[in-house]
Amino acid sequence: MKTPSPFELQPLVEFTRTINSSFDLDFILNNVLYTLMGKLRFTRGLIMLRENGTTYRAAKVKGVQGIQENEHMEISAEGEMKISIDSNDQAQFPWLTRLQNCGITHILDLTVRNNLIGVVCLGKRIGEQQFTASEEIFFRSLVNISATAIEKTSILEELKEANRNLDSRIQELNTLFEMSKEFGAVIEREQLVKVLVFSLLGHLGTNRYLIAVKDNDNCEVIASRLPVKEVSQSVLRDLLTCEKPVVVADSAELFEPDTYRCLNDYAISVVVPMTIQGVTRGVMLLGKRMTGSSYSMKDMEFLSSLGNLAMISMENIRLFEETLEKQRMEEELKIAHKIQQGLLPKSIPDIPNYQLAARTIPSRQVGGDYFDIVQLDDHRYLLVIADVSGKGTPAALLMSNLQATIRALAPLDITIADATARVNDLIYDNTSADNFITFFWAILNTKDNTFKYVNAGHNHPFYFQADGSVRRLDKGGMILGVMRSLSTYEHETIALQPGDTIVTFTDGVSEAMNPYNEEYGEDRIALVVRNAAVESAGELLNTIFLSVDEFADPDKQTDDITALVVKAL
Amino acid sequence: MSDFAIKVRNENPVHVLELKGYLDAHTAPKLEETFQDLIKKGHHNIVVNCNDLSYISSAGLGVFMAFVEDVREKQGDIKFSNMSQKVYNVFDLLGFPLLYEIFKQEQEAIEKFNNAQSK
Repeated sequence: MKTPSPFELQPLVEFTRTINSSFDLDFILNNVLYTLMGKLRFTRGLIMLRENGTTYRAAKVKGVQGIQENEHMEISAEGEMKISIDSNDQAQFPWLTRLQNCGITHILDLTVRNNLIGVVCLGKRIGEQQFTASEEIFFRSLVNISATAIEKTSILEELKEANRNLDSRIQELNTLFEMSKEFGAVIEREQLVKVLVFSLLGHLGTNRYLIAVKDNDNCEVIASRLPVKEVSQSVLRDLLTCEKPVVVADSAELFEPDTYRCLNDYAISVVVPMTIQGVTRGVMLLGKRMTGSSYSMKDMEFLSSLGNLAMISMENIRLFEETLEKQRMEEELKIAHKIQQGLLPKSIPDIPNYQLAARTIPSRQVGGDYFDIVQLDDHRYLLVIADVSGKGTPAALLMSNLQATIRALAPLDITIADATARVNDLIYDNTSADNFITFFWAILNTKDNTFKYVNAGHNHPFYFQADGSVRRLDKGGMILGVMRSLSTYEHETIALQPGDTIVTFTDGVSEAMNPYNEEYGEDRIALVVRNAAVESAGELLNTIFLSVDEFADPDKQTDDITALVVKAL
Repeated sequence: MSDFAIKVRNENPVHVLELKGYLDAHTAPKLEETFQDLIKKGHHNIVVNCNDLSYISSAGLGVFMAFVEDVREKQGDIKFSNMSQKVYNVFDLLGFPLLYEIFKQEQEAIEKFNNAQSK
């Protein structure tokens, strides 16, 4: 091989400098072809670059009819090629036929470190067909230099591509990170959903969406922008059976025909379940991307992570709200309990010739039991036992209302029956219709030893007479607070004998429940009192409470338990 | 962290939003409010000047997605200008240059609206 003359080296050096100054493949390919065509007097040029295996792409085409740029072609050739092709070559390589038909007469491989990366094809040389030795060297050298430059750009392209993939992974991670941070900071579901929607729209470039969550059997749409106002429960339920993120177009068989039709009508592209520990609790639907690109596997993974993250955060918010509500209720019950305790008499007065004992055990929910003992004058005592409807603070407030009314009426010189009607009217006027009070009150007169009572719908107290007979105190009338008094209440006056005992109680006693769901019952009260080998009212009260306590299942105490005992000595 | 501010400027018939600071999930609702307000008042020609915008996240971009259809239905548009390379990279990564017109200078974006109107 003859050494190229300085005349031929000069353009090579220039060419090398030019193409190495650029990473632009298009620029390099143009330069390769123009330099070769200009210097070696070819009228046609073509560079095929290997995509993979035997598939090549027409990366640059100049003056060649019949081959389009970017067209793919199968070329099965290895190693160094002959520069000029003739009919023998055609038989050896059938693909050459096509090139030759397009007027290609010369061909050379682009090889870098024994790797065939493409071929340079030229045709229709003007003038002498045969290369001179120096022309051949020029041709080979230039193609060699080009191969390296071309490979360099493809490495750069790969790097750029890898970089872009990396950037979009980073963007995904940034979004997930930002969301987890933001989700952790918000305490309202609406706020969370808003943030979730924005990041979905921004990250995927869509503006059609629907997010629904399951609440027991009910499916609730918590955000949507669809061409329809409502999506039926049956469709939502079906969507919520989805276990993996799916592209709607490939998953007709996963859904009911109705659901699939809806998804298409709303132009939904993907369905992404939102799961907690593998259980689908919500679902996100997204429409097509405005950029026109489809949802990739990577996108689906991202959506799945974001959806699960949002679902867990929503669950946390729900639990937080539940705890808060529970705390609020506990707080309220504490207040109710305090009110109730405040209403009960601080001490039971000592009454000559009589024993009085009373106690209430409030339930956890704070029922509406109430008792009171008011000294009216030096020989008269007002005794009250009542059960206010409802529980908690409302019951406690009604109770305090009742106490205020009783205390206001007590000093007035009216009969206990008239006073009952007044209490009823006041309670009726000042509360809603669903509030009522079972109410028993009596005036114990220690001068004439009478017990004058009115029973307004309360559990009938027991009157145990010293002679062993028992009867119930049932004279009175309607329960308090249901309607205005139409007539006065009935009353009864009992002449007490020494040894007589009156036991009043609330339904918390008679309806105390044992583990077998049996009630304590009023009969048992009578039995316990009669069998009690005790004397004092206080001991009798203890006996009753002990008996209830033995009988009842403490887990089932949902009502207050109250009793008031009067014994004549 | 929630260092984000919006200034609205009337360049009749265009409204320019000057965004400043960090536009992310935390501050996105602020931008949402501004858009809701503009649209309620019938302003549909909007240029978002990103000169002082130092960061934008996917959630920030989501706000534009949420409103672009509304303004385009009213023959308006959301156009962007004065974007830093960093902010542009996020736009580019998520394919936003295909969906929105982005201009070097705010004036070019305003002129584009004006030209469209005079036609």
